[in-house]
Amino acid sequence: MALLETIDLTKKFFGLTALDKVNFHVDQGEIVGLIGPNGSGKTTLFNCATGVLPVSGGSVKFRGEDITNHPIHEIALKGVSRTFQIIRIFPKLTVMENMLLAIQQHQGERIISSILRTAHVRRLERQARERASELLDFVGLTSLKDSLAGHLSYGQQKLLEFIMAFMPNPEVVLLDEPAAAVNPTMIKKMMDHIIQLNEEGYTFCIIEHNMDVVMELCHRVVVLNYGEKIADGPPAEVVKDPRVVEAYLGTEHAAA
Amino acid sequence: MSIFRPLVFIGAGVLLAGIPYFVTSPYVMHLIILSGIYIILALSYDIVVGYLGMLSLAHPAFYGVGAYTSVLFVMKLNAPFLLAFAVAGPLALIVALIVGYPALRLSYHSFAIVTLAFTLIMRIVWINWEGLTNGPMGIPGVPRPRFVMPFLGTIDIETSTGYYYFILILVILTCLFIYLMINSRVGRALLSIRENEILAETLGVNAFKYRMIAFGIGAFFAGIAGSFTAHYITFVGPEFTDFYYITMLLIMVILGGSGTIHGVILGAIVFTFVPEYLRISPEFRDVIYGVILLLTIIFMPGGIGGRINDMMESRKRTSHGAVGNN
Repeated sequence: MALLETIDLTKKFFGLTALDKVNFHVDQGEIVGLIGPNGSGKTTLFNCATGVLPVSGGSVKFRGEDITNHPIHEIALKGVSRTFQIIRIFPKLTVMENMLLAIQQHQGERIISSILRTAHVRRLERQARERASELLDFVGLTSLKDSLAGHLSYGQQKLLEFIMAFMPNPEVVLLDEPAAAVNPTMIKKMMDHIIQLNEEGYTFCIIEHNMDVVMELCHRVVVLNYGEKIADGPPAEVVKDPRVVEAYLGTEHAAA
Repeated sequence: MSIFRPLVFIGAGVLLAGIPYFVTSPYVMHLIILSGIYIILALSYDIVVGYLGMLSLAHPAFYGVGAYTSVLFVMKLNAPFLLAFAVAGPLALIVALIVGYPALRLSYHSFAIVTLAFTLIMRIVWINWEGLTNGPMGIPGVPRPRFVMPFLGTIDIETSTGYYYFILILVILTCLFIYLMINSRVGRALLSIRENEILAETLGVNAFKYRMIAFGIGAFFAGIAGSFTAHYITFVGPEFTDFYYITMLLIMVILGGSGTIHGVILGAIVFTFVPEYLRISPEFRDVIYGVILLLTIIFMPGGIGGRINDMMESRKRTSHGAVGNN
């Protein structure tokens, strides 16, 4: 059974059809690449799958359970983590505070006991800090844990957002352009992190324009064009698919 | 610093406990008690306006709910003061949840309008439900607080000294609760919603639930302040739910420093005393308050509390040396 799955997913913005009956799935343990020209609906697919945008038609399923149009936080608590194309972190909070925020709801929240800081709450907090320290260590941000997140460099913020997605031990992680606007060294680092985390058992779905990254990382690639799925298969085959070449480069090249 | 800190607390404690002994003027004593009420109101208002970041105009309504609840419990139901006082806060909280359930789903501006409407409606209710509230005349002769406690005997609060200690305890408990709340996971969740709601939701924070919690807690403390006030001035009337309180609380919170406990306390004290001593006419008062608010927002957006925090921060930074990062 697919971990995350969309069935005939359709999204219309007034007259414009951004997603047209897209059938898409991510299986346990996979790294799936989601590619396509600008405006083909990749981010819209992420937004519909995570509840950020209401769906116009079709359905979204997580482990076979319907989660179409469920509230964002509910989908997050089920184990779907994501990052955004434009970095979203809390710039006025410290790196550590950002990390702690990313997990606390997943630990269950009892309002009064958390205000009174019962032993149970303190234990949860300690566990969260340990988990955060491990992840910060993993990407090499430990020395910056008490800095304000807004003071970090762009690449560091990107790393922070990336590891925040792993705080709650998610089932599947949706990454929206993890390598965009990042220098080559950082891209290499990011790829190593993704591969290592995948080996530890995390499932990924990645939107990416950098084809080197896609070819090297992804087990399977799905191509969208004008809101329609035009290809789905191993990276080496997909890039040769005439419809994909046409979508990216135009008809002449496809014929050649 | 570590030896210094307990000394500061002990000093402050002695000073606060000693106030009734060296303040001889009953008028000044009255103002001090009044500022205690305003501290509770302003701090609880700041939970909604500062930490939650929603402009609520319903605070005077909850203040009124607390006051009327407490008075009606004592005078109509002959309930002991302690019970009436204990009911005032929770009832204000329940009312807030009922109002908040639809209102907190609205956008910022719509929320402000709905809460304003609620305040105006509650005022109309106090004025027109004559059988219960005695209409525009209000209810005079509210009995003073009497604590009947098993084994400990009875404590009557009649003097300003008694009221002072009573409000002092309430203020300390309020501060303690709010301090614990904003430093807990609840506080972090509220902050995350204010800073970036979509991101907070993506991390699993149920924004609506936390809005309800913050709005309810704010109302709870307003209700307690209402109950205290009614039994202090021995009167309750529609004046409790006056829009005047909104301007007062806003100026206390914004000038004092929204999001800082010490700043809001300072703002509340200053704006209890200043109007009394300047004896400004009501027409002028609003103009002057408006100018002060504007100047604060332009030149000191963090308020006094924010300025103090900035100063402490920069002192800490210079003493430890700048932390570099690449």
